[in-house]
Amino acid sequence: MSMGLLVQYVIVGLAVLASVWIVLRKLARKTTNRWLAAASIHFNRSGRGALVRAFGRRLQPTEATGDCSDGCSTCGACGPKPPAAAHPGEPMPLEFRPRR
Amino acid sequence: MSASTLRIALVGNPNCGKTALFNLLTGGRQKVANYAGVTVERKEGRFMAPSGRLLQILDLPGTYSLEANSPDEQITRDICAGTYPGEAPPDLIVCVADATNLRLHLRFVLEVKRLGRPVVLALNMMDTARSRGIVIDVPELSRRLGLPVVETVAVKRGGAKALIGQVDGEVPATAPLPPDDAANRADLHAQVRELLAATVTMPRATAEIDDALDRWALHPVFGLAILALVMFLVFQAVYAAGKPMSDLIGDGFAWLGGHVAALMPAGPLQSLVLDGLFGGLGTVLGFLPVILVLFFFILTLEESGYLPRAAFLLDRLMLSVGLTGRSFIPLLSSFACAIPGIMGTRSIQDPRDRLATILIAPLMTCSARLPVYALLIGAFIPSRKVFGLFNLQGVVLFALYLAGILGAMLVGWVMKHIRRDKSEHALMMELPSYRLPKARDVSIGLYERGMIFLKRLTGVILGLTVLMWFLSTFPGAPEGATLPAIDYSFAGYIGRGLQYIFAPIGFNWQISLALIPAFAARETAVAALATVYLVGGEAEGLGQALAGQIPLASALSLLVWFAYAPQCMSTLAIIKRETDSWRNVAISFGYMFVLAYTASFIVYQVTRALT
Repeated sequence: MSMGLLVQYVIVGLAVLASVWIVLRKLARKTTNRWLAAASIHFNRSGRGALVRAFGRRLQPTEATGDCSDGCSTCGACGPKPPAAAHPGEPMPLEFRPRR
Repeated sequence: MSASTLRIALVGNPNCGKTALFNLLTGGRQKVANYAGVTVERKEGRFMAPSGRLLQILDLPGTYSLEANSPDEQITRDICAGTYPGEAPPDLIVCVADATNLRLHLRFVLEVKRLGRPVVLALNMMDTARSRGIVIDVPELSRRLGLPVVETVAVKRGGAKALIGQVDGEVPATAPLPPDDAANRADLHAQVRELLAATVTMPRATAEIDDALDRWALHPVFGLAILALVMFLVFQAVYAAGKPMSDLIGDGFAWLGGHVAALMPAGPLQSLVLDGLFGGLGTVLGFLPVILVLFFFILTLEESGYLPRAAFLLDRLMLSVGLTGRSFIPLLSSFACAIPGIMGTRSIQDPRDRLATILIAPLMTCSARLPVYALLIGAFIPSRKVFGLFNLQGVVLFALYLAGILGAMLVGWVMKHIRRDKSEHALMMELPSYRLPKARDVSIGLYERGMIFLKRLTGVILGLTVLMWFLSTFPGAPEGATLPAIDYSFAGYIGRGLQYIFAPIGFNWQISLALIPAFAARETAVAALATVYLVGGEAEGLGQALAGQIPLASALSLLVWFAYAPQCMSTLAIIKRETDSWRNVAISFGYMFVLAYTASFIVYQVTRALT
């Protein structure tokens, strides 16, 4: 295999790996957040170099706290949950009950 | 947060301009529209007052009363009362009231005053009030209410100057509370009447132009005819205006792709750039103008105040299929995306009606399906005139949207008949004044939609397209292979496996394969098809490749599939979040799969028999 072709395969491999990560972030937000948090703790331990710790801090996942009522269409269900029933008698959560 | 930060909550009746005021103060771009129920949850923003003080603004869902009925109203009630989990009560409540409709809005102001917190009243839409000859004695109103009262025009730059001046100073003292007895509570309407008599002069209760337009728009026969005509013309315009621009972008990408490929050596990277990025992503990007034209009309209608009239007109029809007119606005939002539509159901008070609306909202054709429709219609439906006036492609697009609506009505009707509670709920809805849409608001809305599309395109759609290219390219064909290389790839194997399920509805393995990434984002079906066909050696455009390789029956079947197909994963996630039930997710996914499969099967078999 020529060097040129090898470089092409490396670039393609990186692009595929990056795509897997993007799709995982979209489809499994909570799981990837857990991975990021674990990696962040690992790199941000005391005793590590300043650059490594800074890298660890950058990995810390952030949760979206905004809303999605304006239709961002990129929803990973990251917006705030609807209010739980704060008062007795309020019918939350919803449930579908077919006729018996 | 620093001790000097002032937390201000914007509250008021629905559609009084709270979010417009929020956007004006914070520079936000939250959605505004001329109907009740746009904001269904708490939004937060900050701005620096001229004194250097940091002000934190909460934009809360509109409510007619603090005795909340629906989930969105509960948020406002709980935050104002200081009982919202994890949220301190606001330091100051800015009660926003529509100056043209104080008869309705002052009642809520009196209710908020009873909370015993510092309150400022912002009389919004003062420009419209003045143009209608409404005169408000602001100092007298302030004196009688015992609250600071300021005038605002939330849709004009500098329209909140008086409000900023007020909140930047000392927090006003709490107004003296009236005795909280039953007599006093019941007397709110009388107090409003008294206040209006002493401080407001109104030539007419409603605007003359509104009454004149409503005589036609709300007419039981002409009103429905006008509604049908408006919707039909919108879809005609989408095709007439959007398609040429789409073609231009598609051709531009093909040209650019050719030039870029010529600069690169042959190999996997060239294939990725040419077949994946330019072929796959470029094809999807080409449909951006079609989406923007559709949104131009949706935003214009939203701003005009016509949509609540449409809800009123359709109330009887919706009741007959187990819904209410209140479901109309969330269902309409679902034409952009099912997610805001499902979120919008928070404004529906009755849990049964809310669940019914959540379950059928994904049947409304979301904008992500538009690229698939446009691709297949362009490839299979000839562009000719019907009755010498209408474009046949536009008619088919309208029919597909109509198919989604009819499917939703059918599902609503079935749910109505299987549920135990047969009661019906009357529609109570405020009809706003008609307004000329503001070019700035429509432009911001279009910009937001365009950016959302591009964000998806350069995020999840790009990721899925690269993966689809990888699956279609590797592993390569073995020595002495007789079939095209793609038949030996991962994609070939997966697609042929799926074809066992989808062959009865006319899908070949390429289409079956494209359904997988479409589950993450609908538009990706187009990118996936483009990539698979390009990797498979099809040099011409995707439309021509499809027209040459799949029969009309399969194309129509695919169109129908996308009209009813199980929604994307994000929609399922939002159903889980809003209903807190996996069962509802399973019901939603299951019934849509059965509906889509059955409808596609019928269309495929009937078309095959006829052609």
